[in-house]
Amino acid sequence: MRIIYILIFIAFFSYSCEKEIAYNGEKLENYLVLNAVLEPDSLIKCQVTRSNTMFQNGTIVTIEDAVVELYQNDQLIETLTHSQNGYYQTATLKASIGEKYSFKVSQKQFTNINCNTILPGETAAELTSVKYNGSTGNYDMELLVKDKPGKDCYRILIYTLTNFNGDDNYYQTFIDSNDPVLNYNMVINDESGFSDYPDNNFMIFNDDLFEGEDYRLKFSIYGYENAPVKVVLQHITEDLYQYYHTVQARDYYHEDPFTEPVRIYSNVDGGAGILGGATSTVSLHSLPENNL
Amino acid sequence: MRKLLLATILLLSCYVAQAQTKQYTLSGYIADAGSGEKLINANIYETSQLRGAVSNLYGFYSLTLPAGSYEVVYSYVGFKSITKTINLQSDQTLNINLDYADAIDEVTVIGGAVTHKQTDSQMSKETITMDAIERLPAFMGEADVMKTLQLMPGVQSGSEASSGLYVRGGGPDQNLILLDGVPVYNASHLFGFFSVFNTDAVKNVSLYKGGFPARFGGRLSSVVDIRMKEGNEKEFHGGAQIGLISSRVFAEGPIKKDKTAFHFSARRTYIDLIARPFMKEEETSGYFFYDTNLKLNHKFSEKSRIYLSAYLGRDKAYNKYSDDYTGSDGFNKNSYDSKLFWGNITTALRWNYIFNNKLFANTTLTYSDYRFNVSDKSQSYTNSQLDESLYYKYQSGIEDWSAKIEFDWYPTPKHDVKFGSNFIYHTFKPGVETIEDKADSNTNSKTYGEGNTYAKEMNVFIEDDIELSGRLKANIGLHFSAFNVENNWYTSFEPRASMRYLLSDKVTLKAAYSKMQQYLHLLSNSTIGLPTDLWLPVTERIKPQLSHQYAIGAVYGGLRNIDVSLEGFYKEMDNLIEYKEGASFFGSSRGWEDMVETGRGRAYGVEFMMKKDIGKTTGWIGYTWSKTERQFDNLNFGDWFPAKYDRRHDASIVLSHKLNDKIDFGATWVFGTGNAFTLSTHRIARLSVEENGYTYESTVPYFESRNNYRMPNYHRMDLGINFHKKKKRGTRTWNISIYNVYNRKNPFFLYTGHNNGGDTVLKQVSLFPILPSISYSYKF
Repeated sequence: MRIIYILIFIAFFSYSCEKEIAYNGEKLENYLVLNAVLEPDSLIKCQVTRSNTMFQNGTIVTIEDAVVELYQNDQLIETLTHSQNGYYQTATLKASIGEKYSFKVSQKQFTNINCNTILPGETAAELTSVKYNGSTGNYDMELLVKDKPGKDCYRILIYTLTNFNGDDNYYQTFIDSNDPVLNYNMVINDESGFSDYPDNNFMIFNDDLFEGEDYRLKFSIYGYENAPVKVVLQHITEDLYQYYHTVQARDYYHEDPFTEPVRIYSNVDGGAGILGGATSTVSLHSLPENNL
Repeated sequence: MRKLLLATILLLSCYVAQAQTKQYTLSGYIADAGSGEKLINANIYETSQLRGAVSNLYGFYSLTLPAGSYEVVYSYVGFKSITKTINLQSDQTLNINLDYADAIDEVTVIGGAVTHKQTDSQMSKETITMDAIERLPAFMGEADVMKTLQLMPGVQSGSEASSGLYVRGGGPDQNLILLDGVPVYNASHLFGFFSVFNTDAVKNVSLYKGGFPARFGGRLSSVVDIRMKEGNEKEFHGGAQIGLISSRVFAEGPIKKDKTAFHFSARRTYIDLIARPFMKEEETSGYFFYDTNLKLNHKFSEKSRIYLSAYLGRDKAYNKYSDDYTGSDGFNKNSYDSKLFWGNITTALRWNYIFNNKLFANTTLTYSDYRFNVSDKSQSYTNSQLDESLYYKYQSGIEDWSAKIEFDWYPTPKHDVKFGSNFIYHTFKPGVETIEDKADSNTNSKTYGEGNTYAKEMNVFIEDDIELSGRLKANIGLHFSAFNVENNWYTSFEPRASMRYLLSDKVTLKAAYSKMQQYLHLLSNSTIGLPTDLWLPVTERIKPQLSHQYAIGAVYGGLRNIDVSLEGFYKEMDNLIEYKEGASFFGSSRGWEDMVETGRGRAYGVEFMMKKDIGKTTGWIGYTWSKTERQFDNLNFGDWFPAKYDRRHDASIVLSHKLNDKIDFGATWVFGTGNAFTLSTHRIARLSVEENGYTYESTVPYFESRNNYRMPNYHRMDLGINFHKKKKRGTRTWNISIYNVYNRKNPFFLYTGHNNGGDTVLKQVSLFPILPSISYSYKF
């Protein structure tokens, strides 16, 4: 295909010329952006920032004087206080599974924004197999996900305990998988090394292929024998799934001139951003010895 | 079913009732007296009650009238009309030859008091003559059929200098482009800058934008029916043209006078030949295209005639590199050879047979092949021993075999019935990659991609052009199609109707409805017609595209030799495909069903046209107001959005003037609302989370809707002038054309970048500045 690019390049640069033009679209206004992921038994917090128009360079401005009202099942329960860097949080109130939470954010210079989400319930998961794979040097794992009826979305995270700078801490580790569920429900049988699809760096998946049934999710991680690992299955809201999905696609395609730009998903009315919910099922394990 | 039966009985009784009065048929061929070329859509009418007929695609006409004496007028735009007194007391065959008229005297060349556009029940159809095309300014000296069609109302070009067509909100895959009845799958050379149709070989071009007659099917938005010249039956002629980027030749003449004739034409670009002396010996690269057209026809008898038409066109690009040197390990040689080629072959074998003066049959066998091949080969040697060799090859294409039989039946003067059937065997070659890697006597060879897909498409149709009263005429038809692929069957009943009502001598009202179904999809990454675009059949998951189009309009013929028409249309489309957000395609069909979304579209608009075909000054003024939108459940979060080629205003002024026998000139001016495209207007903070061990940037570009921004408006003027001089054996012509006369920097694409001060700004890339060109041609 190299020759096609060469010819297009020659065609463009033999004849083309470039110039700066004036923007002639609708007047671009800044708006409020809210980002938050609510988790059960955690203080409720969100970050409020201001969007930059395409002509505004520099870092994103955080909004520290907004009025952020929190509603639970449509009842005002608290006005959040600002902590730092545009983050607002409850004093003591923690999110509960199955409850509907809404934010209404106002600031005198911007249009008000609002958004809501329902915190999903926990999904049972069980690590049913961990084996060292001599050919790859990785640990192959199988996680049994006990899906409930209805549309559900998930995210999987694996942490390994690592001594870094003298402290033992769990750090997120890279997950590799050919499981269709972790590849946007597509069978990956392409051995050519060419990939036409974005990676799944957020490790999100939905239950389109196993709705209401148990599913054995297969993946592998890199680790050391006997290392402690933490397996986290997050049951996430569909809005959050869409957000991760579009952000991932945007990262993958944004330098490809032949693709349509990806629109980032938002569930924030009047502005932009995402309000999602995630409920984690956590289990701790140790990686087995490499008996090879 | 009962209604259908009643309608059939009514129709038959109508035929029987008319058959009871004593009637005779006048039939024959209408041809150009100079060349013997048959004239398509020539008018025949008797002067007392203006009962008439129109010659078909092969120049055949049939007019049945009650016994009596008539003055019959034969006319065709650009030719001198002939009036014959005919005493019709039995069936008669009368072949007519019309003389070409120089466009000096408007009186002698008129087609008739009332123009064909007024009397025809067909609407949304435009016809362009080759004379008109050749008088217009030519891009880089190449007169172009497709670029001329883009100047018609309701038709848009995708991007600068592209030869793609976007008709009434449809995509470039929704045009059925027929060359002598054979589908052409990729109608462009040089990435869309030129079309594959050499004007030397083309006789007639018709464009249907709506109100599709039942004989056409398989595409949603338009039919471009291009007919090749048959060849001069009387005498030999030929010619050649030398232009800045290409040259062409043609020859035609009788193999046996008035029996067998041929027409041959060919053209080739030569940038590669000119550039070759300036290239280094070690590295050569180049690009060229060529095409050839051949048509043979033979008359077995007055009733039987056979035609063979063939087209072969290829685009080729290559890059070769070779490097020799002597190092510490001996003599080293590295070479690289890359080739790219694509092109079409179309062939049609056609047999016309006149069963009787009311029944004309056309049987056609066709073959069409479009292929796209890429190969890369790199090798390295040390002391003549192969160290490493890597070979890559990619092939894709589509191949069709078809058999078609069509009948024109003229049972009574008020009926012109067409019926027939067509069978097509498609072979889809959706992209196979072969990689061969040799190193140290080890060879790895792998083939990727899916094998061929075979499909059968068939259709039957019937249509009747019925004169219901002196004022009301309708073309009612039914097209039934079926498509079989991988054990899936799709079928479609497609009713078609168009009608005209003569409100007065000057005003005609028209209306049309057509349902169309399309079994092919085009996977494309661009609007510029790259050869990598891939045709694929419907599947179990990806259903056939479907459209319903409604149109109403009026034609005003009250101005001398000028038709003024106004048409409104509304089109709904379903099962359209678009790439998933972010997804792209570059020549491989792997997993294509997973990369596309299906959705619907709608387009509506008003088209105005004022056209003058006769006289010293000809041309048209066209204007279109339209809106084209798309809705996909999984794109733009389900919201409607403007199609990329949605253009609110589209206008064109096309004029040519013949000053005298030595000089004629043409001018075009086009204006179009800028194309829609997606612009990230904001940047927002990104949710701060770790992503599988990686941490990405903290912000992300954001926009609120797909195709939310408009490029600057497009407008351009082209001028061309022809200087003709009669020489001893023929006529030479110098053509000087200027593309983009006032050097308008039209947008090709936009992007956000930075200026010298570091500010973010919007930047526009334009393709062609003012481009003069010159060509010399000689015809004898």
